[in-house]
Order: sequence, then structure tokens, then C-alpha cells
Amino acid sequence: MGNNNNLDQEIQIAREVQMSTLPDFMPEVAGYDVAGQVWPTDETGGDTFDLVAIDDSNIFVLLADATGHGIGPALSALQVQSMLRVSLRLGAHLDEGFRHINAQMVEDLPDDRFVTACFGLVNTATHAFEFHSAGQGPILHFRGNSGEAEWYEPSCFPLGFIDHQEHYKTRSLTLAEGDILALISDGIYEYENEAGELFGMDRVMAVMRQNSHLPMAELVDKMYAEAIAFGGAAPQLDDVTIVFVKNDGDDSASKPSRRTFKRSLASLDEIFAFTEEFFVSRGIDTSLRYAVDLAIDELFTNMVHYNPEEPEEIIIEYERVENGLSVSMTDHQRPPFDITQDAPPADLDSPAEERQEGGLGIHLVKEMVDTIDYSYDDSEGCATITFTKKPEA
Amino acid sequence: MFEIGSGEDGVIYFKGRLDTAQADKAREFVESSAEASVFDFAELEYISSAGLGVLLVAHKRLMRSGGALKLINVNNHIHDVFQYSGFVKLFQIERSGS
Repeated sequence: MGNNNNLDQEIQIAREVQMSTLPDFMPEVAGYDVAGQVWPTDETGGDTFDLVAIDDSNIFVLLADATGHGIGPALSALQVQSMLRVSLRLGAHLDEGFRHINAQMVEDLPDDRFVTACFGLVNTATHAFEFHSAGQGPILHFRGNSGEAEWYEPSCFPLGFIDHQEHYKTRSLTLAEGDILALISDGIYEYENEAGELFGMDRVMAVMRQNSHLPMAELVDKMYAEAIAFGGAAPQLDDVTIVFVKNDGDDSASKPSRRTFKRSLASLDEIFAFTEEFFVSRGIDTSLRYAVDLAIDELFTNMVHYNPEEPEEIIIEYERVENGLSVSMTDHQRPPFDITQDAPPADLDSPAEERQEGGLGIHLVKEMVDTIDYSYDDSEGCATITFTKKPEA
Repeated sequence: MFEIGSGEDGVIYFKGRLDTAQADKAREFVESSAEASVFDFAELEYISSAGLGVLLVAHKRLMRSGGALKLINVNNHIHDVFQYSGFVKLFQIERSGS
């Protein structure tokens, strides 16, 4: 009895140490809502997570699960978490940190033990999540605008399994506004009910779809509650850990984005890069890209062509509108020339021999965008063309 | 990024984005291989009206020697552009996968 009491006490201490390394508070980062929680089964489990702001623009995200239960696995998970945090704080690249920490775990762990871990950095400026998924999966990228899922399988072996993992490179995904990165341990996916059925990916997705509007702390609790409800009288058999990171959008996402470009066809590459950046950062449907690129290509080329001596640069401004975007292009021109009215009709029906090059650009723009308007500011000599594009219903 | 080249089969391969700034590069290459009548668009992602002009000129030149232009492996977006421009009536255009 005395021995058992000592053991209980040691397990209790180990649990306190483990729980003390979980983040006490969630990092507050503008535009992001993050939450994580562990529900262990034993006094100590092999799961852990981390969510911490490493610097001004990076959140470190971790979900780790050491094989087995008890003090040993808990300490292994703790070791991985500590080494990762420190290496990233010291500025190590994810690949480098991964390689060294894996080598250390191979050295430290017995042959039959290892740690699965998904870890990486969310860059809150670019919204990219760069990560490794060492034996940990599936990783869920929940798309806020469509309610669809992108699933990522493990990218390499678990930590401590085998050395020489240096050729595994980080993967990357981009969290558009409304998207949620969901790291969920197998304690949820494999939560078993009395009939022996597993909770599974479909039920996880159903919970995500119905509740993605909730604050992340509530969504974490909701996911766990749904698994428990599904289990019915069956007890929880494995640790459950849930980590959610949501790009919640902020003022900058709804703000327009504006840039000026030199009056030259050589600017087109820069313009397309600007468009790409806007689409990614605002989560605009990529199926709209072709029409937007073509419209800008044609309109910009026209501005360059018909007004070559004008010294003022051309302004392009994007703004997100519901489901789509609005693009304004402003150019100095005298006299006004309303391309929506004054451009000659395109010749679409003549046989090839009679068709002339050119004259199609404006026609294509009108066909491919949803609305197009021209306005002219006489005092400034400034023409603005605005068009909008949304996905087809 | 736009690339253009011809294979041993005489087919001209278009690759990347044929925007207005790249149209001259396409025009020069197409003019230098005047007999080529099949253009493969499998890896072409984008074309604007300036690129259509290059195709029209090539087709008219081929017609003068009794030939005709044929495009193969055209993606859906680009096919829409041919639809809107009436080019589907001018020469043979095969979509990708057909």
C-alpha cells in the first residue's frame, strides 16, 4: 500500500509537470483565433500541444502524441515540445529543428517507442502554415468559404523512429480568411462507441461545418462533447487533444488593396503578382483568376497603348465584395474615352480572311466580367473603370 | 512565364502565360516556323487578345497555302476565350482530354 501511494504521488507530480507546460493562455494575435485543449485518459497521457507566439508574426503550433500511456510517454512528449519551442525561439529553421530533434529522440527513446507530432509555424502576415507532420495525421485544413476539407497525411516517420530524416522538407498551406487549421489527435478520430464504430473524419467534418462560426475555444469544447455524446456509455479510451487555429480576418482583410504601376507592358508581371497576393490573402475563389487577369491585361494594355506619353502611373485597386471582388483601374486621360460605350463592336462573325487582328480585347472583358462601369473626373482628367466578378451561381 | 518551342513532330508547344507582353515572343517564333499547323496548348494556362491575334495571323498564312491551323489540348478557360471571340468558328480547336 505504501508503495502504491508513492507511485500515485509520483504520477500526480508528473502530471502537474506535464500540465504546467501546456500554454496557460492562448496567444493573442490580431486576425487570429486559436485554442487548444488536452483531455487525458490516465493520470498522465502521451498527448501534448503547444500554441505560442514565437515572434511578431509567427505562431508555433504543435500536436504531439507519444506511444503508450503513463509517465514515460508523457515525458517524451514534453521533451519534444520543449526542444521545438527552444529551437524555434533561437531562430532555427523548421527543417533543421526537425532533423536535430529527431536525432535526439532516436538516441533517447527505446526502439519500440516514438512520438508522432505535427508542428509548424503560422505566419500571421502571409497566412502560410509551414509544417512537418511526423507520423501525425490526418491534418485538416477546413475551408471557411466552401465548407470543404483538405486532408494532409503524415509527411514522414514519427520522431525517434529512424535517423536520417533530413530529406523531408516542410510542407505549406495557406489559411485564407475563415479557414481553420485543425490538429486533432486520434483520440477523436478513433473515438469508439458501444457498437464499435469510430467517430471518424466525416463526423469531424460535420461538427466543423455546423460550428465553424463559433469562437475556437468553444469549437474545441464542442468537438470533444460531440465525441463523448457519440461514444454513449463507452468510456474514453485514449487521450484527446484538439488544436484549432483560425484566420479570423481583421480589418486588413476587408480593406482594399491599392498599388500604382508604370505605364509599360513590362508592368504586367508585377500586376499579376499583386493579383495573386490579393487572391491568397483575402481567400478569393481562384476560379475567378482567369477573368480578372484577362480584364486587367486588356484594360491596362489599352491604357498604355492609347496614352503613351502620359507621365502619371496607373492605379489598380482591389476590394473584396461578397463572394467575389471589385477592381478599379484609374488612369489620366484627355479627352474621356468610355470603353464601355465608345469602343467599336468586335467582329465575331466574318470569315477568317476578312477578320483583322485586334479589336477583341474590350469585347472579351465585357463577356468575362459581371459588371463594368466607366466614370470620368473632368477636373482631374481622371478615368476610372470598375469591374466586378463573382463565381457563377 | 511564357515558353514556346517546337517538337520533332513539327508541333509548336505553348507553355505558361501568353499575356500581352509575351505576344511578340510568340509571334516571332510562329513566323519562324511557318509550316507548323498544329499548336499544342496542353501547358498553356492563359492567353489574352494579343495572343489571339498571333493565332489569327498564323491561320490566315496557312490558309493562303491551302492549310489550316489546329489547336489541341485547350483548357476550359482558354476555350471560353475562343468561344467569346468567335474563334471556334475559324479553325479546329480540341479541348484537353478530348
